[in-house]
Amino acid sequence: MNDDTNISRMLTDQLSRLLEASVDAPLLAKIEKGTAGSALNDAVAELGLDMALVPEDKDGAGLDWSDAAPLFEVLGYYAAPVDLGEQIIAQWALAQAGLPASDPAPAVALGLAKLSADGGLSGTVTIPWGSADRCVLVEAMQDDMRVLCLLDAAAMAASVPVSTVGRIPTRRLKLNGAAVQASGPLGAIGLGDVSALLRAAYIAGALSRALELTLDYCNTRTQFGRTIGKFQAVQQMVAQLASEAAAAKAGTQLGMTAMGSGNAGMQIAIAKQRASAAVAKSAAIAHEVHGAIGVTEEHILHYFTRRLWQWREEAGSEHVWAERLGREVIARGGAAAWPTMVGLSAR
Amino acid sequence: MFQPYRFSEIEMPPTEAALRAEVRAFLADWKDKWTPWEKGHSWNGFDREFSRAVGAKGWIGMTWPAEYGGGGFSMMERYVVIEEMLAAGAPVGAHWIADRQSGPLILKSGTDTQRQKYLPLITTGDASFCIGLSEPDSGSDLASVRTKAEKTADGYRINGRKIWTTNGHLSDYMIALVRTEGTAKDRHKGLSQVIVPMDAPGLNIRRIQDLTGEAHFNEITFDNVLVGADALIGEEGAGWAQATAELAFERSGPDRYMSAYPLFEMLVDYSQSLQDDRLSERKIGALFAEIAVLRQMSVSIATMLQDGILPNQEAAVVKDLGVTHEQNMPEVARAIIGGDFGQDTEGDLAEIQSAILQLAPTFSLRGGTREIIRGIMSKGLGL
Ligand SMILES: Cc1cc2nc3c(=O)[nH]c(=O)nc-3n(C[C@H](O)[C@H](O)[C@H](O)COP(=O)(O)OP(=O)(O)OC[C@H]3O[C@@H](n4cnc5c(N)ncnc54)[C@H](O)[C@@H]3O)c2cc1C
Repeated sequence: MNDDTNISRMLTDQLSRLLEASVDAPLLAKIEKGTAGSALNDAVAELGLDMALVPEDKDGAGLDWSDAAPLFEVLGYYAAPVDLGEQIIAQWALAQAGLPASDPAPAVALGLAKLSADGGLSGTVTIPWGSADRCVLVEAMQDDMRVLCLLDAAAMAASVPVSTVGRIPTRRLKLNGAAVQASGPLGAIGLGDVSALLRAAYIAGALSRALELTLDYCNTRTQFGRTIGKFQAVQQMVAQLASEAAAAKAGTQLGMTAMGSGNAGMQIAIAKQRASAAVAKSAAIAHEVHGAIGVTEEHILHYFTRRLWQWREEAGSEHVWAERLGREVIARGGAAAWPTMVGLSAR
Repeated sequence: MFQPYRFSEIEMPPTEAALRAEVRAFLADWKDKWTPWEKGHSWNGFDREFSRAVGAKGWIGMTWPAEYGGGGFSMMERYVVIEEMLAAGAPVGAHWIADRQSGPLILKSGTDTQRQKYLPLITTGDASFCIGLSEPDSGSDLASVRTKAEKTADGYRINGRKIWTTNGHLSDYMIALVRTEGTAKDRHKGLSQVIVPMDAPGLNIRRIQDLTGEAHFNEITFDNVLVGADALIGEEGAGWAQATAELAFERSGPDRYMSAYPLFEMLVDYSQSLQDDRLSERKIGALFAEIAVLRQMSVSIATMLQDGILPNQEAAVVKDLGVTHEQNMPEVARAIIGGDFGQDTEGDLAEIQSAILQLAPTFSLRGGTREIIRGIMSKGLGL
């Protein structure tokens, strides 16, 4: 085990302890209504984790993506009541684009804008956790170059709230030639790609929580004189949920590892495709096993299932990514598919 | 964070690229000989000549010690070779079972005499093994086997019946799970594993035709079959533990999700001919991601096995997801191709489709049914 893995474990433990102590259904409800205090945000900010992926020579922790992956999964496991994951990828992207880190980290917009020669942005983007007093990062195409654009908080004045299934405070911004505060070129892996990878890790974490909640309920709810987990029909469903959760996690691992070794485009596509694809069946099973209580407002399950339904769509659904991936695989041809497959994890 | 499964980082061997290139070059000389129907049979296909050629390359018993004909390769190197074979739809059936389970069992639990006798023959492709577990009244409930091996002065007298024995009619030996003590009521106790030559007097082979029109499996009757004391593998009474240990090896290999791979490859080419067809792009992309993730899990498990960890629960996950993926492939083919596809079995695509379609029901039966695997998983999760 190398030092980075140890550091990663330590940071993950810190974050887990904090979230374990503070996140419960009432807090999640307040956050969704936009009435939560900033106590948790402040506590998370104190951990300084937003710089996890920034190189050490730029004052970051210099972690690998695969070492940071557990942080993302933990956020999913607790239904991400803060946008720490987005902050981490924002700081990473700023460093990639040669821009200075921003304190606090900007929000991350979903969607690809267009940057014109005169420096104006056009297009419409969606900003989870966006607010009127916060900068935002937008990925844009400038001709055929991918650039990262930082917009100051003033640009957010034009944004409007948008309702989502996940109910995380989200805003939509129409960029009518908005002025860019700073910009820099991005490499082969853009903000949209890492946003997708982040969602894959969130999904993996949330699925493991949905599985855990389901197992707990199986072992406590009694019907016909037995805990429901003793019924074979229930066991068979739970096993399928477990398989899907495992697949989401393994796909995420493939994507995260590839980030450390050159072009991870295809692995990210696989990670997000598979994670998103795991959601439908998994959420359905978790609810089926929980019965009526699982769909009540008080029960914590829906915070996970609604976020799962949200995250599977954000930064590209399984269908969007499958289409891109399929186009690429088909273009290469049948004989190339296998070498491509094994090349995904080649050293 | 609740983490019921471990998937360690993949560590491919430094020899990976060279080894793949060598296997692909070897397969290039064979590939054109196989019909789509044969490629659809993958690891069921039995071709002794092919297995001998594989043996001559040193690719059977790769991880075994040199004194028994092995190549001293790592488990990951073996993994590379077998996944290349399956991707090509190679007929590995004549050496597959011995390479995957019979040989390793003899190596681990057999006597040195048994190792000397069988392992070198396996590595050259000259000894084929079949698996004698199932009986007419013992399928999933394997501990209820009745086939009896009674002690004689110098060995055992076997009476009973085994069934569904894949390629039993073509094999040289069977490793049979038999009762050396007690009755079916004693369950796991009193079970032992014995090696039986398939040409032993009193051993009768009846071929069983399956729905594809072929006869891959058999019913084997033992009528006072005599074997020496040296037929026993390991300890008397340890048969159950020996047969069920290390199931992770059997349940997580590429054979658990690659049975339909040759069809996938042909579907990619077919989709190319459609040009910018969004439906096929989505379907191919989803299949590709599914295979990539299954492979990620399977290779990760192989890495753990190499490190001495036995991830039986993770292996069950691979089998559960893997066979479902394989079984779904012909349905995806129908969606992509549409039209009159499937109304006859003419042409390469329709031919391989017909093989996999008809074999697909068995994917989730062999090696433990889907329901049994999910039962093992739910137990592992604490239900
Ligand atoms: C192509 C093929 C090749 C094979 N090759 C070999 C071989 O080489 N050697 C060998 O020994 N065997 C072989 N088998 C046999 C295979 O291992 C058995 O088919 C398998 O173990 C299931 O047993 P069964 O067919 O008797 O079904 P059964 O056990 O009778 O099961 C029938 C149905 O009942 C379900 N069921 C049974 N018990 C339970 C339970 N406790 N809970 C829930 N559901 C249950 C099963 O899941 C299944 O759906 C082969 C099978 C096939 C299809």
